[in-house]
Amino acid sequence: MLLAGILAFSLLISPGGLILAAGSCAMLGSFSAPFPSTKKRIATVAVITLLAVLVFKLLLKLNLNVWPAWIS
Amino acid sequence: MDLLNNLIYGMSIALAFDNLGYCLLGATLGTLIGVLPGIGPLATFAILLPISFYLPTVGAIIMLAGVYYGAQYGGSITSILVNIPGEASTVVTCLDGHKMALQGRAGAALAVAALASLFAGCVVTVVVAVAGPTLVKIALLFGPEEYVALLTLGLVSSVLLSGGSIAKSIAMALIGLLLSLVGMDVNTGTDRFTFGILELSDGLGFTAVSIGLFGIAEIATSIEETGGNGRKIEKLSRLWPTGEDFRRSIAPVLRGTGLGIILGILPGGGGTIAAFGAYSLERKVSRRPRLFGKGAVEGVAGPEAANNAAAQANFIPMLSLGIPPNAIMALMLGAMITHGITPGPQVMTKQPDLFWGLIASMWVGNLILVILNLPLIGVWVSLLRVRYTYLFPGILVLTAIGAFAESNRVFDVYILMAFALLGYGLKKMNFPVAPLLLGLVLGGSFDEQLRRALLLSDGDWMTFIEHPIALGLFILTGFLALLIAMPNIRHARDEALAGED
Repeated sequence: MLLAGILAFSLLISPGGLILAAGSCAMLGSFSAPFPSTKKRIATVAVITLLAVLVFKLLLKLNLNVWPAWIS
Repeated sequence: MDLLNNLIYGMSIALAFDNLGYCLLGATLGTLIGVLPGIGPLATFAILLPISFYLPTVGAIIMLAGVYYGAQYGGSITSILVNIPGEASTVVTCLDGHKMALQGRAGAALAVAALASLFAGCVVTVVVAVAGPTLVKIALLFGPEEYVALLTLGLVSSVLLSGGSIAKSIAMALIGLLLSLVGMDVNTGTDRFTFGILELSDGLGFTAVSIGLFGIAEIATSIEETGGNGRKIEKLSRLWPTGEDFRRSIAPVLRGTGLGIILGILPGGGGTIAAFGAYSLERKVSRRPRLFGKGAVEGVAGPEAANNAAAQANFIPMLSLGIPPNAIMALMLGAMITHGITPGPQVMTKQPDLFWGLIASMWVGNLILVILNLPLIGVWVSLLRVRYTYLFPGILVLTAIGAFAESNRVFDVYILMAFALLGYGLKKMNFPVAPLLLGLVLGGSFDEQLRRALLLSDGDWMTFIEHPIALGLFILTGFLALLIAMPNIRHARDEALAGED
């Protein structure tokens, strides 16, 4: 599932932007170890995605699209 | 006087607000890594590498250095409290540190470990400041022949002093050398081993390779080993050691520091060998050897001083000669190269702010670490209880973005995946990965210097024998290889490096 997460990131980063790519990477990666509940899994993925945008886009100012091309 | 002026100059850089912040960040991250047994310093270094590219050069190197020696401090916390070493160099601390914790003296063990590391760190900083410029003067006498000999010594040492079978280590170093050849040949402009893939013309992305080999592979094995669960921890009692603990720790700390410095400077040397060496030494010289393994404070003080001293002494060959003595320093070297710095003797003259700022930051960092490790020990203890399940997805996202962000290419993420698979497979088959990384990092300059030496000598290989320094270094390499081939030394090596890789 770790590799599936990275693969999803590589396929989604250009068309889907950081939110979709990081979110799906975290979601797929989270299945590599058991989570106490689905609610906690979703909450963890949401926090990670938000942190990824905050750190990489706002703090480090990386040249990445945050939203999918069809939205922006 | 020059030394003092340089140290004051370095201190002015290290104490600048932003650099102080990077030092604090690095030390905190290092302690965190040391505390969480799932992720070692090598993996974290690899994962943090791409982030460092977006920071100012001096700040980035200060932060990465903080991660490295911070991990030595943090590793001792888990060794003492849960009998699980956060990283290989703190394996020895488990032997007596955890026994002290079981006797209700966890606080004393943690304090001795932190203070021993602080003392060693402060002494080594002075040694780095004195030895660095001296080595730089010697390095300025080096031509391509001497560099080829020195790089050979570095590679052979990394092979001999990495854990596992020597044959496997040699294979790994050779694969690393081969991988370093991928890309365009700078002398002829011809593509080498690119198989027509345009993206490979620039060579394999160092960040993607190191994250794949160390980061992802380590996450995968960590999930298998822990199942994503947290740890149960011994209760913390009185934090301050007794007068008797202090008295018994002084000599081991001094001996450990000395041993750590010597082993840290040597190519291939590192905290693990230094800690094991210090423990054996303390047991031999002690008047109470039977107390070792049962909670002897000397068994914590000596190895802790030694592993921190060695970790910081590793910077001497890296900063002055541009030769990384181990895999973490190889990553540090990679970070410097990516920041446009040519590692080697010219760093001190061309980037004095980096050289002296980094040295002075080690003092500041060690002080920060004692503050982080003693009064805030409760915070680290509570972190030990966090389920790793929550951390892995975040680390995975960090690695994927890190690989992609180096050159904004999806191809680097594919490289990351390929090397993650390779790293995991190698780990499962007990192949040491550190020599591969050293081969990859040193391969470029080895190729360049070897060809330069042969060009200057019209292809005459005798040039390596005609240069006395090069000949001396080759003899030293041969002597080291012979020494390790001796059965009793080989047995001691296998024992000492059981925790590596």
